[in-house]
Formats: sequence, structure tokens, C-alpha cells
Amino acid sequence: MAGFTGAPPIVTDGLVFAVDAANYESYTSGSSTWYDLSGNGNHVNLYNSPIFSDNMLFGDGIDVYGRTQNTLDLTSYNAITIISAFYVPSGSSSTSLIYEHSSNWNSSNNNYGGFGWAANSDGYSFTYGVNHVQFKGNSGYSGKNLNSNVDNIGIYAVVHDVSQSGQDETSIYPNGSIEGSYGTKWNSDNTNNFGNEHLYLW
Amino acid sequence: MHSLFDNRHYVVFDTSETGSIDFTQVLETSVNTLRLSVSGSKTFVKYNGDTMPSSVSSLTTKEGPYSHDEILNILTGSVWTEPNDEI
Repeated sequence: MAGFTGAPPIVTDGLVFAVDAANYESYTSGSSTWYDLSGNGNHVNLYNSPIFSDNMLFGDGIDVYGRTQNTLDLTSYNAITIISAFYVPSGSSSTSLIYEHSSNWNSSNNNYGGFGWAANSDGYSFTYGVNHVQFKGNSGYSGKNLNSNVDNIGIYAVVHDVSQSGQDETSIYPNGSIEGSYGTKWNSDNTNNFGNEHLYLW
Repeated sequence: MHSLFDNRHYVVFDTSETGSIDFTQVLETSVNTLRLSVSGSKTFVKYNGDTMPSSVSSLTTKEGPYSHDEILNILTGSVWTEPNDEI
């Protein structure tokens, strides 16, 4: 029988960033720092009092946010995978960003891909129960929408791969499955690598 | 329905009074992390419980306190959100 003296280790090969509110080596209640488990020191400063409950961190959809202390340098990558776990509470009435690489993915100077996940958005405006994922590269947007399981935690793997053709540059794998039956809504064919920006949460 | 945010209350005020806020009494981190209205003329702070902190109570331009649902509704208006903001 094997045991761990701390939290179970995670595989960090190829990881740039990893935070986990359920892992006490990453977060403890009341802390204003969410520690990166990747070994790269990309810790997150938390602002305006998120709530920790049931081993999860909750933004409030109002002014809570987090920002990595360092920029995440992705300039050597033309393909990235982001895995996030979150849920949209029933009755929510505003759009919230789950994460965003850059302070505004719409203003990445058309040079590289600023990317992110937005809950309760169709890519244009507040849309209850729809989640929107995209990046903006040197040609334009590559993104898709996905209906969310309101009040149920989903685990979403998103792959942004600019080596693919336009409509395949962004792929979503919800809860370990292949992509669902939602449409590609933004399918620009981009070529440049990703950028060197802070990662914002909520 | 019970919400994690039921205990939080929000007070809107003019940004000209941000210097009066004691940030040890509110849930915002600092003056640098306050959310501003589109024009920059208004902001807000939040606190836990029913008792308004003294530095908030002393504000002369305060509006509220508001509940979590009420402030969410306020923030969807054009005073706080650019109508053409895209996400």
C-alpha cells in the first residue's frame, strides 16, 4: 500500500498552470493566493473576497476576480489544452468569465490568440445557460458555444490548435466525451502562436 | 432559494469618496480593485452582515444597501455596462 505525506502528486509534464481549490497545497480557506501546482510559480492573486465552500472557490459575478502574478508565456505554443471544472448556478443573471488569457481577448492586436471561457454568453451578450469559448488570433475568432448543465459541475477540456483548419481550431470535450451537437460559430483560420499575458479568473 | 451570497450587502457611491473607505471593513481588496461605472463616476463596496461598516455609513453619496440579486440587476444597466460590450 502506498501513501502520501501531502496531497496526491499530479503529473506536471507539459503543464504551464494548475490550480485546484480542493487540494490544500493549492488553496486553503481565507487565503488571497491560489497556488499553482505546476511547479512554474504561476500563482494567482485573488481580489475582492471569493467564497470558499465545499472545496470550491466561488466568484460572485460582481467584482471578484483572480489574476496570475506572472504572465503565462505561451509564445512557443501553437496548440494548447485547458481543462476547467465549473458550474453555472440556476437563475444567474449575468455573464461571467471563467478564465481569460489577457485582460481583453477582443483586443489582442490581431497578432496572437487571446482565449477564454465565458459562462452565460453566446459570444455577443448575456444568454442564460450557454457557455462560450473562443480565441482571437491573427486572422480572427475561433470559437464555439456549448449548452451548460446548470447547477451541475462540468469538466471541460478545450483544445485550441491553430495548425488545424478554421472550423477545427477550437474543440470542446465536455465531461470526457467528444464534442456535442453545437455549431461552430467563429471559424477564422489563424496561424500565429499564443501570447504572453496574465491569466484572469472569473 | 438560499445563496452563498445572501449575507453580502452592497453600497453604491460616488468615486470621489473612495478615499473615505476603510478597506479593513469591506470585502474589496483595495481602492485599486474597485469596479467602476462606465463613466467612472460611481463605484461600490460590499460587506458581510446587516451592520453597515462605519466608513461606509459615513458616505454622503451612498445608495443602498442592496442585496446580491439587486446589485446584479443594477450592474446590467447602461450605467455599469457598455451596451456594445461583446464577450
